[in-house]
Amino acid sequence: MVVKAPLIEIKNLTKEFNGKQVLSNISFNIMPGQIFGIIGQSGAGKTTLMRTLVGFYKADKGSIIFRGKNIRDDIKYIRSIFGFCTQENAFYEELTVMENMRYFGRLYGLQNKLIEERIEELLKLVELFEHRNKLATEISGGMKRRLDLACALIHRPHVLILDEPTTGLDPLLKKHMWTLIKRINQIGTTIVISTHLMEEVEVLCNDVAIISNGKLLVVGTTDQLKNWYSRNEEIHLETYPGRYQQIVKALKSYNLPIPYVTHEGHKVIIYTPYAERVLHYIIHVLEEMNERLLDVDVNKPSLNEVFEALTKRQR
Amino acid sequence: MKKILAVLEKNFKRLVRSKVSALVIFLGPFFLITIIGLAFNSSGLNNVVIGAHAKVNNTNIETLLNSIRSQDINVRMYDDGQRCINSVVDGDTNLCILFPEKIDASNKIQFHVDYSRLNLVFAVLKIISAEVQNQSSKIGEDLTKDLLSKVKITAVTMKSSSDVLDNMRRNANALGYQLTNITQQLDKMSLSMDFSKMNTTELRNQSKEGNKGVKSFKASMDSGIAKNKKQLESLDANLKSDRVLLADKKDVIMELKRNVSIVYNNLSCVDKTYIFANRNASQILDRLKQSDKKDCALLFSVMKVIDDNINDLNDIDKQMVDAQAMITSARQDLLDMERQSRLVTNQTTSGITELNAQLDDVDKTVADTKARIAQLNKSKNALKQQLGMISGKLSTNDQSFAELKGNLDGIVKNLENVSMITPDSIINPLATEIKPLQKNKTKLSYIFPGLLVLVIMFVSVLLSSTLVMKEKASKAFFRNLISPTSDFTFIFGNYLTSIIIIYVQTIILIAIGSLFFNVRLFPIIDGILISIFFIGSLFIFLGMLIGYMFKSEETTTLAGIFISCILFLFSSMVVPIESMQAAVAMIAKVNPFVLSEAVLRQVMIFEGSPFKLPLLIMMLSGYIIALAALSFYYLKFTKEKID
Repeated sequence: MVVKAPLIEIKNLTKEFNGKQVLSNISFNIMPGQIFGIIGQSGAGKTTLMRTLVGFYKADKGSIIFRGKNIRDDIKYIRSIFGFCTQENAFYEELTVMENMRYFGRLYGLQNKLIEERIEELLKLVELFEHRNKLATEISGGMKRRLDLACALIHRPHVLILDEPTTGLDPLLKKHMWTLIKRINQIGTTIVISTHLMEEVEVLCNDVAIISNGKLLVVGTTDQLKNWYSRNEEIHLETYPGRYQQIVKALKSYNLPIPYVTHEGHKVIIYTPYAERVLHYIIHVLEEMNERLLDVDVNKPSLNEVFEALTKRQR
Repeated sequence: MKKILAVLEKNFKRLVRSKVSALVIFLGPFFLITIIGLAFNSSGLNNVVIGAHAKVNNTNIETLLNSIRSQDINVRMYDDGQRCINSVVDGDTNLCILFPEKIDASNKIQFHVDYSRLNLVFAVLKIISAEVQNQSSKIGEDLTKDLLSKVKITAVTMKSSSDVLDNMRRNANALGYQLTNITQQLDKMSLSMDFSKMNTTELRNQSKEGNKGVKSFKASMDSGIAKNKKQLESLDANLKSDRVLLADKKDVIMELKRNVSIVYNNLSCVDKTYIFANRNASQILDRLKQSDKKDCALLFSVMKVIDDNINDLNDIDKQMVDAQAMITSARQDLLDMERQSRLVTNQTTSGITELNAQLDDVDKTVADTKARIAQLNKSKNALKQQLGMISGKLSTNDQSFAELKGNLDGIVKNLENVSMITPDSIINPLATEIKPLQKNKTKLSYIFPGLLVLVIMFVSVLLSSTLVMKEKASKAFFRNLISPTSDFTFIFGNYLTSIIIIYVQTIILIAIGSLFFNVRLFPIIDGILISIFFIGSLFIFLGMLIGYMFKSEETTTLAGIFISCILFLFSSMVVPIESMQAAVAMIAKVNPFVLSEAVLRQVMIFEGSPFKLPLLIMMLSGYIIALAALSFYYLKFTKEKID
C-alpha cells in the first residue's frame, strides 16, 4: 500500500492580533485530492486559519508546508495556485458576470484567450453561462455564490479554500452548491472547507478538524467522529420551577456515568452512554430538589449537537 | 501593465455604471465653471447700494455723491444718521456715509461698514475712498498754493543770508591762512645759538701763551740778531783780509805771466802763418804740439794755466766783493729785522692786551645774549600757543560756518524744491498708476488658477478617497489582495483612474472657460497640464491616504472635506496669508494648496512654465512621494484589518 504524502502540513501554527491569540499551536495535515473540513463556531479562528493558509496573514509561530516547501518562501506562487471563496461574495456588483471573471483572470496573469475559454467552461460548470452578460447585482443569491466560486476557480487552482460557502443559502441551493463542490473536487482540486454545519461536513468532507477559541480540539475522518460520539445519548429535561443551575450542580456532585451535562435556555442537556439507568437517578435527584419534571426527551445526538457540546465543553 | 489596465478598466466601469458618479464627474465641472463664469466674468461692482446722511447739504457733498454715482453705485439718502447705519445692519445698503456739518480736517467723514462682508466692503471702500480723496484734494489745493508762495519768499531770504555767511567764511579762512603763515615763520625762526663756540677761556690761555711767546721771541730774536751781527762783522773782516791777500797773489801771478810771455815771445813761438784769431787755446796748443816747438807748447800750457789762475783769482775776488755786498745787505737786513722784531713785539703785546679787553667784552655780551635768547624763546612759545588757539577757534568757526551754510543751503534747496512743487503733487504726493501684469483679464481670469486648484483638490481628495474606500468596502478587495498582484498595481491603478478623471475635468473647465468666458487658456495648455499632473497627483495621494486611514465611507468623506477645507482656508483665497500670525503664515506658505495655486498662477496668469518655480515643483514632488509612500504603508496596514 502506497502512503500518500500530505499536500499541506500545518505545524504548530500560532497567530495573534493585538496581543490576543486567535490561533494557538494548531497542527494537522491535508492530503491531496480530499475535501478537508474545518469546523468551528463563529470567532473560533476558522477564517484566520484559512487566510493564513493562503499566505494573506503571516503566522507568528509555526509553519505551513505545501508540497514540502514553506508557503512564505514563494508566496506569489502559492497565491497563483490557491483559490479562495470568502463567506461573502468577493466580486464587483457593478460589473457583469463575465467582466468580473475577466478582471480576476487578468489579475492572475492569464492570457485573454485562455480567460475567455475558462469563463465559458466555468460558467457552464456553475450554470451561469446564460447569465454571463448580466450585472452581478442583478443575479440571485445562489447565482452570486456560484459566480464567486467561478471567480475563485478562474486560474484553475490546485487548492480551493471555501470559507462557509453555503452560508445564507436555502436548503435547495445548499445541496446544489454541495454537488458543485463535489464536481470541482472530482476534477482533482483539493478543497479546504470551513463550516459550522455538520450536515455539510457529513456530505462533503473526508477529514475534519474541529477548532474552538483558536485551539484544535480534534482531527479525524467524519466516520471516526461519528463513531466516537455515537456512544453517547442525549437527554433533554424541562422542570418546574426550573433551577437548572442547581440541577446541573447536583447532577455533577453524584458519581453518575455522565461525561457532560449543561443547561441551555429552559432545559438541561445530559450526555451519557447509559441513558435509561441515568434517567432513574435523575428523577430521584429532581424529587429531592422539589423540581417537577415537565418534559423529558432521550435521543442519539446529531453531529451538529455533538460539535456544539464539544466546543462548549472546551469553553 | 496588463494588470494595471485591468484595474483601470474596472474602476472606470464601476464609476460610469454608477450614474450619479458619472454625472458628478462630467457635469460637475461644467456647472461649476458656468455658474462661476456668469458670476465673475466682469471687472466692476454691480448692484452696490450705499446709504448717506448729511446734516447740511453743500456743494462739496453733492459733488462727492455725484462722483460716487458715476461709478455705477446707487446712493440712498437718509434723513437720520442712525437709520443710515441700521440700513447696513439690515443689509439694505452695503455701507453708510455720515457727512459732518462742515467738511474739514477736524470733522471727519464717517464710514460705517459691515466687515463680515469683507471682500465687498473693501471693494466699495476702495471706490468711495478714491472719490472722497478727489474732493479732499481739490480743497487742499488752494491752501497749498498760499503755502507755496510763502515758501518761495522764505527761500529767497535764506539764500541772501547764505551769501553773507559765505563772505564771513572767506574772511575767516584768510585770517586762518595768515595765522598759519605766522606760525610757520615762527617755527622757522631759530633762536638757539651755539655758545660753546663763544668760549673765551681758550683764547685767554692762548693770549697768555702768546704774551709769553712774544717775550721769548723778542729775546731769541735779539740774541740771534746780535749773534748774526757779530758773525757778519767777523766775516766782513775776514773777507777784507782775504781780499788783500788775494790781490797780492794776483800780482805775483801777473808777474809770472809777464815773465812767461816774455819767454814765449823770445822763443818765437808765435806762428805768424797761423791765424790765432778765433782759435781756442786747445787748438793753439795742438798746433804747437804738432809743430816742432815743444817748448812753446809747454809755455803755452803754462801761460794758459796762469791765465786760468788769474781768471780764478778774479772770480774769487769778484765773489768776495759780492760776499761783502751780501754781508752789508745782511747787516742791513738784520737791522731791519731787529727793527721789525721790536715793532712786532710791541704791536703783539699791545694786541694781546687789547684782545684780553675785547674778550672780557665778548664774555659779557655772550652772557647778555644768552639771557635775551631764553626770554625770546619763552615769548615765541607763548605766541605760538596763542596762535594755535586762535587757529583752532578759527577752524571750529569755519566748520560751524560750513555746517550753517550747508543747513542754509539745504533749507534753501528744500524750499526751492517745495516752491517748484505743484499744489497737486502735495495733495496727491504719490503719483500711482496701476498696470496689470496681464492685460485684458476679467475677474474670472484672476480667480481661475485658485478655482482650478480648488476643484482639483476637492475632486482629487474625494474621488481618490472614495475609490479607495469603495474598494476597501467591497468584498472583492480581499480577492484582489490574495491574487498574485502587487500592491503597487492597485495603488497605481487607482491613481491613474483619478488623474485621468482630473484631466478630463480640467479640460472641460478650460474648454468652457475659453469658449464661453474668454479666458485665454488653450495657448498655455501644456503648462497647465504639467502643473495639473503635480497638483492632481499630490491631492490624489492625499485622498488615497485618507481612504486607507479611515474605516467607514462617511468618516473618509468627512476627513477629506475637513482636510481640504483646512488647506483652502489657510490659503490666500479667503484671507491673505500675510495677514495671518507669523507662525501660522509660515506653515501656510508650505500648504500644498498655496504651492499649487502659485504654480498654476505662474502658468495661467503670467503664462510662464511651471518649472520657473523649481522650488515649488520640488516641494510638490516631495509631498507626492511622501503621500504615496504613506499610502503604501497604510495599504499594508489595512490588510491586517480586513474582516
